[in-house]
Amino acid sequence: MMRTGSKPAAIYFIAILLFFICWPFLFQNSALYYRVMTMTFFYGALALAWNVYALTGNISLGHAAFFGLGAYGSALLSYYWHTSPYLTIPFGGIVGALYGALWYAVFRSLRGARFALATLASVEIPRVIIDNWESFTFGSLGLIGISSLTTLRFGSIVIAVGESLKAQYYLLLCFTLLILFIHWKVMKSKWGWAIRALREEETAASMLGVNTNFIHFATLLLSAFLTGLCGGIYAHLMGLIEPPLVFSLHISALPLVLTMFGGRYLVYGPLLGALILYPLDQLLFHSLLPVGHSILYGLMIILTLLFFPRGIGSWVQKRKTAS
Amino acid sequence: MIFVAVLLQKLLRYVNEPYELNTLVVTFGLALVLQNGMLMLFSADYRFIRSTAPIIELPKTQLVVTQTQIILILTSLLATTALYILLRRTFLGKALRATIQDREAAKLAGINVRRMSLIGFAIGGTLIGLAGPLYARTAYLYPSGGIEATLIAIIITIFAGVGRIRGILLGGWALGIAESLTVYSLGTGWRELVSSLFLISLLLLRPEGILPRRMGANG
Amino acid sequence: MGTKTQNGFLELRNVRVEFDRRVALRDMSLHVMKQEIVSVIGPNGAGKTTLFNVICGQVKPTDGAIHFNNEDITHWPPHRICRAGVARTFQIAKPFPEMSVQQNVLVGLWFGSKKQYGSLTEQAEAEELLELVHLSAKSRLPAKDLTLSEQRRLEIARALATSPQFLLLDEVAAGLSPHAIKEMAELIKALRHQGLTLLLTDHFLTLTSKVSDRLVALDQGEIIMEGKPGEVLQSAEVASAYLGERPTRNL
Repeated sequence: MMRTGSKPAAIYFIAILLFFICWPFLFQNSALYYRVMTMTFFYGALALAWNVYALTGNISLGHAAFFGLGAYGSALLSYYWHTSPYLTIPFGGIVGALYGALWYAVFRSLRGARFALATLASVEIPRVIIDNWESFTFGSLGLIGISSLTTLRFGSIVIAVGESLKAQYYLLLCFTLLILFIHWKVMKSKWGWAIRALREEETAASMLGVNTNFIHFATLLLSAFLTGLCGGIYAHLMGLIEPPLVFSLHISALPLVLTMFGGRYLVYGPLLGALILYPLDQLLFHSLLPVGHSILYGLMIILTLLFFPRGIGSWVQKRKTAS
Repeated sequence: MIFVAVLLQKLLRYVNEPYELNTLVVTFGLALVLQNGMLMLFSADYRFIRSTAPIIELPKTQLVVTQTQIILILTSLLATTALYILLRRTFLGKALRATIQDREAAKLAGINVRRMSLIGFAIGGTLIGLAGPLYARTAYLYPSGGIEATLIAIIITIFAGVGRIRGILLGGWALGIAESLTVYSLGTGWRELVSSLFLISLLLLRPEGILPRRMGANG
Repeated sequence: MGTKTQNGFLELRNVRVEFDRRVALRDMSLHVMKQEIVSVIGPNGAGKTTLFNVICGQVKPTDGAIHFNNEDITHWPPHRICRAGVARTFQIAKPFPEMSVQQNVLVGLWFGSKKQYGSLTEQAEAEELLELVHLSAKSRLPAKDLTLSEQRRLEIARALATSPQFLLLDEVAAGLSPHAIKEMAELIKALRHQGLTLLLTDHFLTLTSKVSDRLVALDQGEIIMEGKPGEVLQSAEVASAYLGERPTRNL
């Protein structure tokens, strides 16, 4: 929006960013915190990637397909051809994008519930194929021993990304910032307005000169690529992947939940959802109720959406701009 | 089951717009709550209800059927027929259908829409409550097992065209047959693939649902 | 039934549109000359909206061709047709509900015309168009908060934002007060003076007869009469079509 609320927003953003950058120096060596925050950033990026296409109004329940394909594409390339993770991850993104292109070709006429359903079903195709193709993908045994992220050397500076949790933390922070930037650019640009027009009233948009088909295509491809990237990162971060894990409904549903929680029409919405829910669940709820911690997670989701139908972010937004 | 259904309905009444998405997420949250509630109460082990029912061999073919399966088939047929009769032949059924088709108009016609909603949920709850134990007797039980069944139910409902009973029935059977045939010829590994392809092609070819749309009356 | 084909600004040649088993337009040949104002009239179901839809690309013809400005636009997607200079309003208004009235118009400016996104003058230009349809006062409101007739006027401003040469107005008079209809007639004539060609459809026959150069009467997917407003409106055939005395065609 062309409102002048951008100044205070930028200040908040920089403040929070500085916090995340400096924080490891304040709280030394807490492996748990590193792990949790790394994954928080990760899921934030995943949610942002998903929302890129959700902005068109088509809610996908099948992004796990891109994730899984990205994970497997990346892992297999690394395993068989010993390629550096920094190359396999973009490759994973490309594999995801290819499947996204397939989605467009096949699902282009579908909208709403039908689209959601078709995307849901489409996850099974790569999953089952990978699961059965044991000679190549090791099927349901999963792929283990995926090389961790290799060490980076800049002159005399050596960053052992694979081993250091701290390095992983920063790497993922950077990655998520990148995805946030892309998400921002997609929303606040001419492209962003085209997507919004498409979402609000597709027929009118096309009659006003918006190339709706292309917008669907490009946005879907981007979303699929970014999600594939996440899959690739996941593979190298975890070292182990298997079909039910990377193609799970959870991977598809989580971005939806996080985005709805954080605010789907806000640039930082999906990320906010991740920043609040994930650490809360992992740190607070786990310690309160180790076995049924998801209950609190679920309750939190229910209550928030009942009182803040547009997500927490919308409440934050209202408090900032006094409109 | 009815209790849970009523609880769900009362809860969903508070959902604001956008209705569908928010309902989806709220239900997701609720599912988490219930699932984990059960997890806490019953632990995560798989459970299996032993069936001691006799096995019957069908005369001409080589097929073997258990008594449980026959009961399953008969019960679901009975329940579906009952529902069909309710929706089509009774006044209550008409009121329900009116509410589905146009809530505002139904209100104007004097139908108590809230109560219809409640009844709808109650009936749904009852049917699911019936299906649960039946399903349980033939499959493993575990807390997250509900998801699979829900998915199947959603799938069948949407692609059969919401609100068309014959479509839903036909859809369910077609899917079941397709799945079983796959398992029979290719083994269980490919089951979901075939179902998915089946589902996707149906969504593409017949977006209105299985049965062709006739001008005028539907259902 | 057709007319002799002249090289019109907009031309339909033997256009046929079929849905499932229903024929919406049969063998439709129509032309509109530059800066003409033509009105299409006919009872409900005659095919008026389908005609608009097929010209603008929302619906593809089963047969026949459509030419605009000597280009074959038959299979073009709507956005391309828009960029070529055709704009329309919709019978059931389709504003962008969450966007403000001004933003609705801006979308037209950004995507339909050659105007740059983010130019300094864009808001002023949008306001100018809103002024034309008397919506300036509501410029900052979300479009969903407008009344139905205001939304219709927004549609016009938005369509005009795409700098069209040809404008299709779908039942603009519906829901307007007599005074507002008079203003609408003035606006339509003013638009023609500015160089636009217009194709209207409306039930409000007083409006159409007042502004139109030519009237085309449709019934059950084909043209039953066309000519000067006076002639057409006095024709017995047209009257009976409206009153429903004409026997139904076999499909």
